[in-house]
Amino acid sequence: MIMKVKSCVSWRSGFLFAGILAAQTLSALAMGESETAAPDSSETVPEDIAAQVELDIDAFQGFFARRFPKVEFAEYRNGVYALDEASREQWLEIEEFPPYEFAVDQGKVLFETPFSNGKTYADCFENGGIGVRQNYPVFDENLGEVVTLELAINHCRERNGELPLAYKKGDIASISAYMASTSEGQELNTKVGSEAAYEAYKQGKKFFYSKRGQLNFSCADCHMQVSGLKLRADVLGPSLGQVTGFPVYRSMWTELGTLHRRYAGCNKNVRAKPFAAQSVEYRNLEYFQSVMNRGLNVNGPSSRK
Amino acid sequence: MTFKHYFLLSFLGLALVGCEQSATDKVAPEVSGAEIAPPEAISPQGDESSEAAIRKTLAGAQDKLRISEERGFAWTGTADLLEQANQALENGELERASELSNALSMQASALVEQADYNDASWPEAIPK
Repeated sequence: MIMKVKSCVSWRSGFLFAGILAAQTLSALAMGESETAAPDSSETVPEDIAAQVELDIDAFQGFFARRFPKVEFAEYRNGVYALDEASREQWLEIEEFPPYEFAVDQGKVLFETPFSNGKTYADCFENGGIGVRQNYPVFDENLGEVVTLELAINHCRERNGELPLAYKKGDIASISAYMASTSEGQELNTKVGSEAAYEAYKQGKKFFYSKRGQLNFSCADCHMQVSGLKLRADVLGPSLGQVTGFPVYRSMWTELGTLHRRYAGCNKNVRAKPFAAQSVEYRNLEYFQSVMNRGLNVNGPSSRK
Repeated sequence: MTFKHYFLLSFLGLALVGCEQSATDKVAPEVSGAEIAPPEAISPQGDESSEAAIRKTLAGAQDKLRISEERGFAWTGTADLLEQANQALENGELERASELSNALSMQASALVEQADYNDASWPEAIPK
């Protein structure tokens, strides 16, 4: 009896490996804020770094242009709905009464509510925090690390004597959503402006292409190599355009969540232990992805399945 | 087809062949994924030396897990596996503890390989 059970387990594992093998074979065949924001040092970037980043962007965006020749570049900001017509119709209907609207309103209130010292978020950000989402994430030369919008929000709070907010959902997602909404239509403008920034960019790039978890999948496996194909009932979205719509209201979450919450979910899906939201790893990943998404318009917050 | 896929194909073949054997041959090692017996696999005899061997296997696996995690690679299931193995050991269920520790050891070795592979070969994953 024991051997029978073990045999079943073995067969199940065999099928699991077969599934993974099939998917991977298929993929192979398918072949800041004003106080913290780093000064724009793009003019001092060594030529080879700038050239390498441009090459990466061309190759990344070119990949999708070849893979989906009928999809216009600007459409990628709509994620998987740029590819799948049936999903798009449902999504457009959802967007008629955006489920994130209340969160944006709440975010505006939170954004404008003074801290205990009388200052507000507007005092921390360039242009009063209005229309700045496209500049994040930014590599802060003083801190020597990538600063995302959510991290900048918490830096602002801490500098003003407030406790930081939790990073995955709740108030921080609402504030981020409000700030993103004021950047609607602005082009993502993430720059790699120094050697140190390039190191962070490279770490993010390595993360994106590294296989993780017991299922041995990289971000690129699902969101490049087999993007547009189905994983069970869902079409896999392209990586190009993934960051523009965050924070998003996911039907699965029934609430607004941040990009790093989504990263953690993705990692769990491939049975990799996720990193903490706003960990260096996820910030570098967001940085790399944002550079690759250069030229797309901010359209967050948005809704997703 | 890349080298990786040939490797995986070979691995799958071995897994399925071993699977058939495991139903009839009690001596044959368990197969596929976490159930493949690692080189240091042990056969519990129900005595103190067996328990010591299990503890040694678990300690070795934990070292590998820690190193892999420091390199940025950790799987979701290993913590549970470790807990179950320790629990079985505490309960004196040496056969179960042995199976779980072998499984954990296998996963830990695979994690190290995954980290090594990615360090050396991640650029190969960039679509051409």
